[in-house]
Amino acid sequence: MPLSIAEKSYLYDSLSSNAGTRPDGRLPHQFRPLEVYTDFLPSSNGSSRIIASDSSECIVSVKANVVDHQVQQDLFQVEVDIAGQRDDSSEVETLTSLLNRVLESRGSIDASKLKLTRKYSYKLFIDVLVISSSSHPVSLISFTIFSALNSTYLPKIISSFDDLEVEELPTFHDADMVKLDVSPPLVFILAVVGENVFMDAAANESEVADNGLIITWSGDKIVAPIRTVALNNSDVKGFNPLVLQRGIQMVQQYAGDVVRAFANL
Amino acid sequence: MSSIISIAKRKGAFQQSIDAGFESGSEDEDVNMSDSIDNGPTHTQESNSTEGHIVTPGELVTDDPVWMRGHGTYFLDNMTYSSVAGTVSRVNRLLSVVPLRSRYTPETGDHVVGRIAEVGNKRWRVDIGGKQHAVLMLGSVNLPGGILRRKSESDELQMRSFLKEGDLLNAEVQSLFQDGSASLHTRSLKYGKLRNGQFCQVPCSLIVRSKNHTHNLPGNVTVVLGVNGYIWLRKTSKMDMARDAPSGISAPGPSNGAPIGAKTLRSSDSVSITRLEEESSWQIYSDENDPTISVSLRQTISRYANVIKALAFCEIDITHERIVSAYEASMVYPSVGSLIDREVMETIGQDVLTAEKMRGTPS
Repeated sequence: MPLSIAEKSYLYDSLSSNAGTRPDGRLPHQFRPLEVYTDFLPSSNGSSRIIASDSSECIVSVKANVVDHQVQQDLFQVEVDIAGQRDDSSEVETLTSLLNRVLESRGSIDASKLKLTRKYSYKLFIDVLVISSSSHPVSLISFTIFSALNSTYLPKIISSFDDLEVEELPTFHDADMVKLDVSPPLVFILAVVGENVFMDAAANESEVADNGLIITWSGDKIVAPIRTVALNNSDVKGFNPLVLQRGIQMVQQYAGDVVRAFANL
Repeated sequence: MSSIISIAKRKGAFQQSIDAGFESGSEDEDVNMSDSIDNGPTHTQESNSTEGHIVTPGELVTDDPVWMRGHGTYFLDNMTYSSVAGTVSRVNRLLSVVPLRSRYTPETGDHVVGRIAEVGNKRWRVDIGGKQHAVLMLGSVNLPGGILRRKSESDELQMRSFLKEGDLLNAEVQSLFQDGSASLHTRSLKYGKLRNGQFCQVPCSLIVRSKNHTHNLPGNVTVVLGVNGYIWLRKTSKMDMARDAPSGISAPGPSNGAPIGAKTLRSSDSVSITRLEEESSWQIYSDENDPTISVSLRQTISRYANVIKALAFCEIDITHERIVSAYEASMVYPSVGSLIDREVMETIGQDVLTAEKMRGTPS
């Protein structure tokens, strides 16, 4: 969305002022409302669809496969598809690698929850489809993955846990499913304008942002990856390192509320 | 918690929800349908009488072949069906369905807000949210240096210094081309580049065409309600104040010696239309905002943007009175940011409608 110079300078002056007035009047740490649908894809283990109030929309499906975890270390695999963009475009590839990094087995997520036996584990294939997005989609995708993983049910194992001595393949109960209990990390995107940071920047705020911060949060603490990202092509500037600290503080302070809001659905 | 994020859980998705809704509410609808098919003549009479009722795509509008089929309809076996969701309109023998949601269809005389999409040969292409971009000819704008100035070759070369890609302007639809695209003009001081405020967009079907589309609102804010659903909210300028002041002789100060019929544009410093020349200097194409816009005014503008979005969310037609009434209703919420919540938006919409009923304003 190209903005006129007068619009940009009005928005920039509003956002960078001490009061930090946002165009929709939100507080700096306030998110826009979301609508969540879960468990609607019959052929996947978990699914979620989030529609943001600016009609950005993202669908995530989680499917499981049993793998030998000595052969395959990574138990999460994320594939991102953004409508209107090629699979090998830089944005899609950056997002895919970022999200794979967030859900890395040796990272902050507890992969032992996927362990079936001493030899076998579940491997989760997370397919992301961004149907439309007017600003940087990483936060929306992360929230959708979060709610999809929290609504994932996997078949219950009925064979024994120790299968190193007796070579046997795990067998599963016909009907019983077990709720997956991982606490996936959340990725937040913050817009930096002057000395201020803003959570969940709308399209017009992104357009004037000096820079963007990607901050990952998992279980009460900030984890890797933390990155900067350009939110627009025209007005990217450097920022005061203190702003990064303030952004991290903001995420730490309010990420718990987001998790609670998802839990209270 | 709700001050940080509000997440609403919705049930079902895609086909399931449609199925579920259909099954649960299908009974009475089915009865209705079979009724109307059984006694066909009654049905036609009924649909004749209920002018402006809502039809859905594929719904039978009439089986009377005398009607000429207009936009939004199709014809099969002597029956006319609706091809869009909207209201039926009958003009003489022409039957058409006006869609509830569509791109903006320009009409001559509409006051629109648009964004420059392209600078071309002696013309700008303007995005007005219609099916095609509108055209703004170099000859249909006020050039710096006055109304009597002739446009020259140098103007063609420096078109980007007047208006460039992304610029917002308000304009009037001057005429329509054969294909339905519009030609705009900004040959009045009330049209031109927009500054000192922020942009907000609503579906164009919610904007009611009226005599005046620029309104001064309480709180020193002026709104430009483009008929195409593009809305500009800005700090009230001197010119905006003059426009609302009683025109002509009732303006404060000694009556000037302007010829009868010459309207005073700025009552405060008495610049009449005869001095248009000085007014249309390079200033009208400046990109500089007024440096004195205060934080509280910015918040008021944000509040207006939010109440307009709330009205649009409730599918309430947007008029000057309703914006003011919604703004007053929104004052219950001290934080502007709380107005983006669904419940709050619904409450404001309810309040506006209730206030209208109490006052008995014709809607």
